[in-house]
Amino acid sequence: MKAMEQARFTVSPYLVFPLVHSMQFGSEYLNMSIKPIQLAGHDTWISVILCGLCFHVVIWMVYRILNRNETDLIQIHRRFFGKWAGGGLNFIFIVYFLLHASLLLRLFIEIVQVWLFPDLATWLLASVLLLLVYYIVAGGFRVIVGICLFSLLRHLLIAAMLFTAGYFHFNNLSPVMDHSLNELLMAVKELAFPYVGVEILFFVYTFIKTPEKSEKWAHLANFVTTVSYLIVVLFSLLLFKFEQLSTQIWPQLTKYKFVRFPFIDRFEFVGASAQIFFVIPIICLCIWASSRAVKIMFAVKQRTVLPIFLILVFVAVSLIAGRNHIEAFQDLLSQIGFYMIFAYIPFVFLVDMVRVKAGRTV
Amino acid sequence: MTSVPRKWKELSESSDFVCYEHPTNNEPIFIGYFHSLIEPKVLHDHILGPLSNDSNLSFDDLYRSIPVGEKEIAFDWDTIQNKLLRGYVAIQYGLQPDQCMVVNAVASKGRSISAPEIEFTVEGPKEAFVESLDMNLNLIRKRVPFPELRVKELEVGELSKARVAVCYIKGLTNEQYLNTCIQRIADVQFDQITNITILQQMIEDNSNTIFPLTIGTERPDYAAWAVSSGQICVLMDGSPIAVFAPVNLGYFFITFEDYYLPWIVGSILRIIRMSSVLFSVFASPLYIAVMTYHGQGISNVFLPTIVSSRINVPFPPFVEVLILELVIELLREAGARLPTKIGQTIGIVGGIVLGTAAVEAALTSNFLLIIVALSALASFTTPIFRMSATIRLLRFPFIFSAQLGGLLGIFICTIAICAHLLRLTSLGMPYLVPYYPFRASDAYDTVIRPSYSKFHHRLSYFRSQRPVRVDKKQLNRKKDIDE
Amino acid sequence: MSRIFLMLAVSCLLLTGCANQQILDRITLFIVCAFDEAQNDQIEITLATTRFQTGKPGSISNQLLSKVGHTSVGIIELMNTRMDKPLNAGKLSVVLIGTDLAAKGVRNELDMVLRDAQASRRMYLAVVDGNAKEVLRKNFSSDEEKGLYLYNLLDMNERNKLVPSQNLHEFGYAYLGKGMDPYLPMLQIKDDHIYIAGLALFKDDKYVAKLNEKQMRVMKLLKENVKHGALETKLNNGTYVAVEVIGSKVRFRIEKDTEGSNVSLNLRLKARIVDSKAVTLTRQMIKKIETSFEKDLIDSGTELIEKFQKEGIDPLGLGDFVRSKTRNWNEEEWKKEYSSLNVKIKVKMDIEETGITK
Repeated sequence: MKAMEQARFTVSPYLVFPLVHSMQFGSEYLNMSIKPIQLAGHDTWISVILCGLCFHVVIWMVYRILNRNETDLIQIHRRFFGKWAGGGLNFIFIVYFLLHASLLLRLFIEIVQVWLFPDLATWLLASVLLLLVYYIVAGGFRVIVGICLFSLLRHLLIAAMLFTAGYFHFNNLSPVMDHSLNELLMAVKELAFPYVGVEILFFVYTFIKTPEKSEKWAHLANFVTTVSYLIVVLFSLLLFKFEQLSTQIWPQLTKYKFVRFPFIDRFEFVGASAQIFFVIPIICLCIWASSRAVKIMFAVKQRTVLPIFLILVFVAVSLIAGRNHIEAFQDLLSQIGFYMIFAYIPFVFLVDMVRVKAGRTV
Repeated sequence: MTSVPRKWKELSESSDFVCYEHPTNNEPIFIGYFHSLIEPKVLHDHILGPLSNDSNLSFDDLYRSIPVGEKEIAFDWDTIQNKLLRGYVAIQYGLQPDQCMVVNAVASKGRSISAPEIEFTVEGPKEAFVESLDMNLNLIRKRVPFPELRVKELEVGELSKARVAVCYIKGLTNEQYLNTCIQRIADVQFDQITNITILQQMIEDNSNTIFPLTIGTERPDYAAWAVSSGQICVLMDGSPIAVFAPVNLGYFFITFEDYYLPWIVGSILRIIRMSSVLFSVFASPLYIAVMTYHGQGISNVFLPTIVSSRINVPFPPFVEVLILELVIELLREAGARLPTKIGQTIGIVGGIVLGTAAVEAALTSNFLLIIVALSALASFTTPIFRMSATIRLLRFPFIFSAQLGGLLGIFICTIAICAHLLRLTSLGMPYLVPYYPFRASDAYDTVIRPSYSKFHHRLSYFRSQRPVRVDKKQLNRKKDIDE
Repeated sequence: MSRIFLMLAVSCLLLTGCANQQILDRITLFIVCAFDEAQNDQIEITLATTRFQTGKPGSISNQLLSKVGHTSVGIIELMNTRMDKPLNAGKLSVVLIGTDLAAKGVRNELDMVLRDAQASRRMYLAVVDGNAKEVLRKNFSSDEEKGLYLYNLLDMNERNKLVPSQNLHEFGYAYLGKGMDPYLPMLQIKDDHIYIAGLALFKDDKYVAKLNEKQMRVMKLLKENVKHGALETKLNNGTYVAVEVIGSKVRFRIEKDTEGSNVSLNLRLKARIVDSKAVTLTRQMIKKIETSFEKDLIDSGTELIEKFQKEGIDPLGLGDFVRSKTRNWNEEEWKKEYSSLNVKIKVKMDIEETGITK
């Protein structure tokens, strides 16, 4: 049953932490509060916690499915649904990962265009970044995880937000629970997208040494993500008036405008540039996972699939123009992500349960 | 000279090969050697002495009576020839013998041991490796008088036939690393290897990188420390440097003197050194990025200082930085190629005169002059020469990317360098260990050099067969008050 | 691998043409700009451009640029026709607004600075009594950049003295937020000197009323916790005593009684006497001084709030406070309530030290 990779390609269980955490914590967190805040207002932070809890349940389910089958999702699909239906589902995942990579790349390029270089061509930065992605992904899974680990340095930037503390208005948070539970749950749905990323576990499972031990690290990753998001959202609520916050597209980046050192007055160019540390690991993981799925499904070399996928992403990114397109794209993807996490994973979980029960009775 | 063995004749085509027939009553005795390689005193006292006393000595009697330890009886011409080329004297009975005696008479002409020059130390021992392999082995073995210290000798280079010694401690050094290392040395395909630095490049895992993957040191104490921590040390005859591997990136910013200082002082010096590396790489690229793209980030107080210093400079910051960096590299290169005293003068005069003149001629701003001079200075704090060259070169991709993309360019370049570092290995060991893969147990001797009570385990990434260095309980026994 | 690096390098080189360079000494920076009203709904913008001097680490701003137009960006674009180096608004730190324009509303100007990704969020805004352009014409700082001088003037007073602080972020906060109204410091010119003469109060984005220096200080105490600044009072016997505030805390509280809800402002001051006009400071005397201060502050505070209620503005953010204590707070209802709201001020002053003499 076991289908593990060779030892020299596998990583230690604790590296699941940077992996899952980097995959979740993309630059979509910058504008994560826009929509939920319309629903839950200053109580959005409660929704952030609720959403984090939901994802702990999802991670639990993911590990139950994986530990029982001891293989990755590509094989599980084939095993559960047969070659054709399973292949179709794998294909959906491939497309999803490619779309996710494209969206992240486009979001980042948009940030660069708005905050740093207004006249930068989309295709140019996209090609530079995709070359970088190629170099990383061609280095193999361990290099990708290394980049994930290295990108944890970005948490220093979260610390830089403490500079805004002088402008906090704590009465922005009260009265607590001014919104109905329904509103909070609606906000949870809107918030789910920044948390999406735990599905990568389905694909990296065989690359983890003693994967059963890695579950706690995945939970820790989700916990740290939740805490980071909580800080981000809380700071936004404390710093901005609700009405002000709804006008900000990237309230997170605006916060960097408050950072002050003796020789540096503002920090937003650092904050905007540093978003690359949020984006590159996700794009690498997405491209890696999708090209690996193709490798297993069609028995082709990953090295030949990789450039093709990069070109696909490049084309997709070049086609998305302007804020409106990006927003529409993000909405679409967050819908897909939401149903994948909260509908599809429980569905697979149930199918697995049924199979186990059926197996027992036979 | 007509009656010497046929094969010896070929050698005597070079004029420093001497061979003649020793006059005896019985069978003719032939003696051959390279007079450029041997010590005449050994020949006269120990070989010719017994022979002239009793010219009728048989082969075995002569062999027994020569008071030299390194002698042997060789049976084939290849061995004899090799020995001759290594400063042995060959003695042969008869023209077509089946055996030949070779006696070591090699002249040990060479530099005597002197103080280290590159890795100078204040408190450490003033001994450095010299060109003689035997003397170098002596320096290491003196420091590790341990029976399990093994030396495996190999020969590299079709023409150079250089002796290479691989030192390791049996039962401690990881076998896999050792086999890789020996295999790589044995696989070297090159005719003339004159220095160990050439060999070094050939046995490293990746030759297309500017990062060194092995460390060369001229200090026997450092080499002995490396061997006893589970690394493999390679020495070569004719090279005053010992190379050891596997190593990680952190090793290149450590001087061995850190271990001689109290741990707090040593750690602080280490931190200063490591931050100076960061400064050296990032200072001038950041200057370009801020001056070219992110000017609004400079604080109001600082702005006049920085702008008024380059208000008349005709070049963009990028060109300004490139000019100054090249000037510094030029000064360094010129200083390195000239004799020490002139070199120093060139450095000082060139630095001061050029610097002042460049600022006065409004070719650069004095603010940048400070940055570039400081970052050059900072790059020299790196103790390993190959690494400090790497650091200086590493600045240039960052300078270019800062010009092209400001801070974003610097970040992209950082990720690219990082991905490159992640791909590197040294004898198969990841280059970024213990940061990636992260090993908390090995984190003790990285950025800080803690007290020796923390050194109870060998670094696990060397996969030593004997992971325990000292018993932890004994090392960390705490005393009560007034005990 | 080297191929990839080459490709990276080449594509990076292409990037040069596309990123817009803003080399710091090849652009014209301005730290201060003034907005005034012009005819036909137009605005006039005046900039004092920063000139750096060679060799000397300092800068001056003796060149004024002024232009009338409809949008600020359009005006700055037109100003470029008079410049040798393009104008860059990245360092803008002080915005002066003329009284006329402020009375008409500053919404458009605010929108420009809040939308700009390069603009600082800590820049100071100020209303000028009269024409804002006149301020820049005056030679009030001979050896220093005018913008820097004004920035430091406002920065020092709002951070360390009793001028209520209001930078761009806080102005936007109060303007956009419900249940609160913004205010700005009011600058005045007198004999080539610029000084903060009081506070300009806004209703939404329109300037409606003015506070004098004394009212401004009381307002600061009621609005935020302070650590610096001096106050004075007149005792019953006619002498004046001055204290230095070493810490003040203000707490808003809702008190419910039979008639409905009241808001009370509890102010606690810690101070030390710095100038007592040779009054001997016995314990009773200190007590007397404290009560005098308390009475003064309550009187002027109440007066202030009555003024706010009359104008229908809420610079103290009482509405916002009530919102944070009420579920389902409604702005419309609050506005009706506000004019008749019962606001009590309670002041408790502690004089802790009296300097080095008794």
